[in-house]
Amino acid sequence: MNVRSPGGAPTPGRRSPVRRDVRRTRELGEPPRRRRREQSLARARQAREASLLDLIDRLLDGGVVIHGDITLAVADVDLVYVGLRALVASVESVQPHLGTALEARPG
Amino acid sequence: MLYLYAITDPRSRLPAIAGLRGAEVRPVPIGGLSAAVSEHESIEVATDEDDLWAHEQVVEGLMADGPVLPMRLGSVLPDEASVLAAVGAREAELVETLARIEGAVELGVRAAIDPAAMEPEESDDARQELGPGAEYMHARLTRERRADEVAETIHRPLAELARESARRRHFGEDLVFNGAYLVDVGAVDRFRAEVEELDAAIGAASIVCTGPWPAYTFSSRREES
Amino acid sequence: MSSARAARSGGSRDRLLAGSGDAELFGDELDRLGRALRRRVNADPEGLEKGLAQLVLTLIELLRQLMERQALRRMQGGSLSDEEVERLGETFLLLEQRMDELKDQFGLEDEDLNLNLGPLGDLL
Repeated sequence: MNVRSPGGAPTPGRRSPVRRDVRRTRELGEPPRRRRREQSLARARQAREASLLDLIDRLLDGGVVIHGDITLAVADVDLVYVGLRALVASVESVQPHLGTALEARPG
Repeated sequence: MLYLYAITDPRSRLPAIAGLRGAEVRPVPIGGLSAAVSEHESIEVATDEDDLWAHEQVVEGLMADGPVLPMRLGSVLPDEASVLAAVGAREAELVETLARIEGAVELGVRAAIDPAAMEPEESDDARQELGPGAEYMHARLTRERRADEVAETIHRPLAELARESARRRHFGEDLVFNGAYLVDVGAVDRFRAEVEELDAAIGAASIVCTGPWPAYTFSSRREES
Repeated sequence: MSSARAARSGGSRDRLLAGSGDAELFGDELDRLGRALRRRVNADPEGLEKGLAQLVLTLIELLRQLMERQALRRMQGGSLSDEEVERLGETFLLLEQRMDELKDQFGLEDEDLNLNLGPLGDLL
């Protein structure tokens, strides 16, 4: 949702500031050992999720593509999205960027 | 049908790891290359965690013995003849790519950028008289520019530690950085340390690095621009 | 930590090498990941209508972002007058407002408009 500044114009960007440190609020009487264990479980889960995110990107968008049938479970509706994806990619390659482009270069 | 995992040097040994659906992984020689495949009556690969990691474990197992060009998930061909034809048609290119990535691994770097944490620009009195539309546009421009600066601060030192690098263009409201780096195996630790340093030093960004991955980003063919 | 780790294999699903891996940072992307991993079953008519609205609004959002980037680029290049900047900005603000209304109408969140493309990842 928009963050409205006092002047009435919405502040660009919908996200609240990134929180660098996410710590659970300490509950009264909670044993420190259990809290440490929960924190370390949370960190392990985050590590797996970050890994899975990067794995998905690579497996679905990278690697060698051999001309042939990609037999993923793609329903008919997904084909519309395939077209959209191609549209975005073609527009991006045509437009010069404010940000940066997908480019591979040495070093 | 044959499910393809990766293309390797023919001298590389196969990992003692089962492939998808517990099928045996075996090599198909194609000239100066070899394709690692498993055979199935029929196979439908779902985009679920288990299949993804099953594919990945096979590819990573192959990495132990030499350079590996990983296949995209879901590459299936009807038989060996078609594997020979498809891979054979690109043999020269694939041999070259294999040589290019030999001795290196791919590392992924992501960062979330918070423009609010950056130094505010000096207030410009003339700007107070801007209408809401212009105010919006100027604020957007500043935000994009700052994010670009932060992204560049992250990317430059990392690119210097890598053989090759690629940045994924992010298209949307979020300010995120997403880069892939082809790093010599011997330089991985230094790269990791650099990411930690950048993460600590740049207040406006939170950075993570994942890997080592097979060279997915650096094996895929780029469109000629 | 030795570089022999580069050749590690095994059943581990953890590839985090550096950084905090704070899930808050990539919360939205992880949500989208979750949706990408689940098969989408949209058999009921209500779901279909919502699915179409999702598609259409994502297209509009895509176009809006494209146009905005284009305008920002021209602004940066100095080829827009002050009045044009003001007019364009107002238009984008209005569009954003209209999008919010449409999203409310269809019960869609920002994250819903970042359509996952199944195996092909996210659109935006």
